[in-house]
Amino acid sequence: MKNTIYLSTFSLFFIFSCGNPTEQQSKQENLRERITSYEDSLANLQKDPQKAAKITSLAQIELINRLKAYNQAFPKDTFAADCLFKIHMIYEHLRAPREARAYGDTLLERFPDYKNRLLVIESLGSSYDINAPRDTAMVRKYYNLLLKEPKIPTQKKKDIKARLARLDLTFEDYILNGNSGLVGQGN
Amino acid sequence: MILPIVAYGDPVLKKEAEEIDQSYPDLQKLIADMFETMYHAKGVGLAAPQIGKSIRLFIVDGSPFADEEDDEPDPMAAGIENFKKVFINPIIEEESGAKWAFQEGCLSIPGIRENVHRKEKLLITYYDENWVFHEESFDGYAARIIQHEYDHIEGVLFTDHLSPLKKKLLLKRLGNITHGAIQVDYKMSFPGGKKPRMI
Repeated sequence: MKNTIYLSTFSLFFIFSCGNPTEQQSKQENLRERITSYEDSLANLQKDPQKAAKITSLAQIELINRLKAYNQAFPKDTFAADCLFKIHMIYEHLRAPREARAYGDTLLERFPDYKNRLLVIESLGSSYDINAPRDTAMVRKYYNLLLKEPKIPTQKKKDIKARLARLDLTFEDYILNGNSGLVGQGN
Repeated sequence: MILPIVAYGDPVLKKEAEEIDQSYPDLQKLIADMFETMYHAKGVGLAAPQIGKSIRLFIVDGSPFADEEDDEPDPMAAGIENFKKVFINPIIEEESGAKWAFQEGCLSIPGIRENVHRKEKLLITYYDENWVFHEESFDGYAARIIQHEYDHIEGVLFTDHLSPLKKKLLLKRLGNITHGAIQVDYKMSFPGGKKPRMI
């Protein structure tokens, strides 16, 4: 009898803490829908310059909160990787480098095979290179990591090596005094 | 007289500009030249550092933002048709409201336009071209133009508001501007040494 009570209590606890699979799926879909619908509404506003004014930093923070909610609820899901990526990018855009770096690092650690891995590493390197105060040791760390990536395009590799060779220069000085190879190549 | 506009990379654009007083030589001529330069380049604002003078002066004329008659009224453009002013020794006393995104460009950084987030409203004190003191509030596009130009006299460019990755991705285009490897339809001077190339 005692065992039965224990078992029942445990089962009940398990159901309450984890929810059943249908509920979980529904919650997952709901959190995802909250993100995509919000992103769609922001994208629609963006199309019209008059309406784009409605995209305030508060709207971006609302999007971050929705992305965080998904990441917290389903941290192992591949969509959580996209959430972390977007959180990193939005924080950089909002000029919050500490938060941006934390989410970028978390993404690299939890999803080492993430599709946009190269971009995340480059973004982290740039964050330490361009935001004041510069941290050249961290720039070196991320750019060297980038150079080790097997899928890095040849031109990107060349650019990163050139930047690493002149880390004594700030971004602006690098443009002004940097190699003339910059000129005329387009973006 | 149309003056050459200095391009991205010129140290004068990164320097905090100095206040001036009424003894500043040929100020009225300088202001007239700045308006002529701005209109020629089809700009809505021009700060003195952009013509190589590190002084706290900028001019604005937001009338190109005014609504066309058949357009829906844009609340951000209210009053912009008469927004032509000279700001000498301005101080932004206060900025308020939520930050909003707007695609900005700059005569010193031709061909690049990016979204920049800035606050909605501001309170500014300044002297006009007759050395009359003003304290005024602005919002919408007028505030946006002022904030952009005010940044210039603080040594800040709109690209400084972009995310590092975005700025890094613009590296080559910014390099091309610095070194004059671009085509513009107004007079420019390039710190990287090339002579201006007009189209």
